[in-house]
Amino acid sequence: MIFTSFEFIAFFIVLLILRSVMTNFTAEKWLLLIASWLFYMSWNPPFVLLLIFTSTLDFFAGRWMEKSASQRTRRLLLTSSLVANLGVLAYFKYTNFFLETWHGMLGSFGIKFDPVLLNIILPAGISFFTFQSMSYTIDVYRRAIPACRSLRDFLLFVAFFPQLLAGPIVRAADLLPQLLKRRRASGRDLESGLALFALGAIKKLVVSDQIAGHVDLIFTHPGNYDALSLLFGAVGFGLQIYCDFSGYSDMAIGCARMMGYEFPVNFRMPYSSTSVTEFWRRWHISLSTWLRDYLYISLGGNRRSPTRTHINLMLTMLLGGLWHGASWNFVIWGGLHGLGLILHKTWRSILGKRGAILDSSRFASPVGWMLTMSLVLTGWIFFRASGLRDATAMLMRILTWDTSGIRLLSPQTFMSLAIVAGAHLCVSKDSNWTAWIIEKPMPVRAIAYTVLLMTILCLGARESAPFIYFQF
Amino acid sequence: MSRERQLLVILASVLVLSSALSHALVWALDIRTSGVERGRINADATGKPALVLGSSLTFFGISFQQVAKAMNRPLLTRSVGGCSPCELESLAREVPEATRMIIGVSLFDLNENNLSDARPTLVPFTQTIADLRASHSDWTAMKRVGWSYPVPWIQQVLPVAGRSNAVMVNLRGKVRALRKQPANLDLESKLTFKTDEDSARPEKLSDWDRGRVGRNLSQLSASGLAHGRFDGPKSLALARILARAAQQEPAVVIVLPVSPPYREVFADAISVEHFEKALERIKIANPKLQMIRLDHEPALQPAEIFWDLVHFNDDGRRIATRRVVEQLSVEATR
Repeated sequence: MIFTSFEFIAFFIVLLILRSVMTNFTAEKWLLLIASWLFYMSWNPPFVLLLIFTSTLDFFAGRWMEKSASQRTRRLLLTSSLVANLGVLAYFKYTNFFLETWHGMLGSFGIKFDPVLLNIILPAGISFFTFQSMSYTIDVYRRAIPACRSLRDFLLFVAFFPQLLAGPIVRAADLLPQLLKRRRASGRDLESGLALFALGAIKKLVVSDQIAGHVDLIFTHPGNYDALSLLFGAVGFGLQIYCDFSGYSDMAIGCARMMGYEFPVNFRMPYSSTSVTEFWRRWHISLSTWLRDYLYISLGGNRRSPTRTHINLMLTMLLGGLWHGASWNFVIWGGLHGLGLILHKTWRSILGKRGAILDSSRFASPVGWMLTMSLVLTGWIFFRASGLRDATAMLMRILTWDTSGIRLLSPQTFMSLAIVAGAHLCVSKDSNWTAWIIEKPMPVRAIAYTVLLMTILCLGARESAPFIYFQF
Repeated sequence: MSRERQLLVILASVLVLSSALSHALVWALDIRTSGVERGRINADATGKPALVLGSSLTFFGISFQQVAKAMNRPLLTRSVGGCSPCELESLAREVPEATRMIIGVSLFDLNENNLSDARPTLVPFTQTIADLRASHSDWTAMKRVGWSYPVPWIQQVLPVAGRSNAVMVNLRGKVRALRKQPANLDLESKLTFKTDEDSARPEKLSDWDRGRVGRNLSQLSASGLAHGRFDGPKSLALARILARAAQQEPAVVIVLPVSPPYREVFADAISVEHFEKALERIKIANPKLQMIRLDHEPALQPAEIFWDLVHFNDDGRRIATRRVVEQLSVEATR
């Protein structure tokens, strides 16, 4: 059940109606919890038990941690919770990757080891709900938040359907308090939620789904195409993944807002960034802040020497890459971004106070943007290619401008590029369109929403593919 | 006015405005909203009529004017763009007077993953559900087919809903016409075929550059054709059509080929095996039927005889028609 399907729209309307007629707050929360489980079960029914199991474990870990005065017991409880969560994640996501890597390593020493690869089905959204649940236990351990008193509320916090499969990774401090009091969406919330949902649907149906076929074709056999086609394939994937993921986030935030809940922003025009550091402040914000708060800072952050800071940064990004999937391609993608962050940090420290002067110069922004986009685009090639060999071959063909091969350019990629570039150029990168539009007079809003609907109808894909981030 | 009331007024206005714009677009871009083609060929002939059923592949691929002359009987034709036996079964019921049936099938239109827009309007929902259950279709297939049923209702209010391909292709066509450029009809475009006359199609797929072939393949791939399935409602509907035709003169099933690039991408060994098994089941269930395997004809394999990935051009139609007429005459003399 994906957000752009009829079945989700029917599911959501029925849920809104049922919720609005309910008078009992407890019953309403049970309704949301059961609806969230049903939503998850539409992907793979048995895995709902895994979701319940890990959530229950973390709930009790949190409760005991709060009750315990002994630091040793608290640490033991936190460690148990982290081991259980990461163990589940490692089993489902990384078992075969570790076996294959082990096989390769032993093979390079001439030792024969043929592991039996397991046929493991990856539960949808496992990386998201595991990280969400882990952030709760760490926060309780750090005494940043009190432990949740109700198991039902905690289960709902983890399973709440708008953010369950692909985020935003909502922190317990943000969502749990919202579950304590009955919430109703105001007319303003309903309208801005609906507008955000429509905007997300445009990103998904008009851009991401329309160029998916072309991008797949390029990345399936990259050796068949010339450098220009490969470059546009990489640009196409950059557009596809941005519109797919930020479209999902917009729809998730919109759905939650229509029910009166508020989620954090996940994307803020990342392709307008003029440095890698800025890119990570705008791309998948809930993951980058999660990694910063629970990994980078735990490793020591920037409190020690510059070298140690760089190592922490690189480790964070490598693990962030591995979080996306069990493949060396993701590790390299993370490593590239880690390197970009280190270089940017070093460059800023060399410039010192002159950095601010340079930032305001006309020259710095375009150069910074070009360098950032070059790194981001190179990263996307590793992120999307089927293997390291494909990715490096594709990159080499682009860098040496190899003109042999088929010229395959898609009009959809040009259209998508025009839409995304137009949006980035015309709209301020820190603006909030939905907050802006709902303040306008009624006729303006009616015309704006008609344009949104007609864009989906006239340019949207007939059939929608599952969101890319569901597989992570 | 409260924000809630404002929202209601805005939603109503959006619906009215979008509906008006949508209807205006359908009119201005000449988008076809009803696709059933009904025709009568060789009406003056004295014999009892035969019924010809098939998708655009069948009617672009074979000249039924010539077939009717060779058979010396009237032919009644029924088709709808992108259709399969599911839709054709409903159309066949319109013609009880026919005493013989000719039906065209292919790897493209028997593929269960290839859904026709006409299914919700032609095939009862209960029939579709019964077929999906009987063929043990998976949940994804059930959802995909089942959720196509509300689309015609939405199209009553918003006729461009679900027709974004037609909007874009027809818009490009209008722009080309304004700039006095020749039309460029790719697959999924405005297939304005007639079942009772031969449309001229001189273009050759072999003249397409590889990029254009790739683009069209990627479009088809995005529509879910990647893996062929031949054991669902379409196969059941074909079996029922032929079972009904068993009381008439022996039915004719014409198996049309698809182009080499299509075969290369979508006809993997497993898909072909499943397709062959589906045809074998039909043959076993209807031993009297005449199966004309145009897809096995060496002369009908090269890209030169297709005008796009699945449709024959004029040359292809000439060869295919000759083969069909020959085979029908051979059968008639037995």
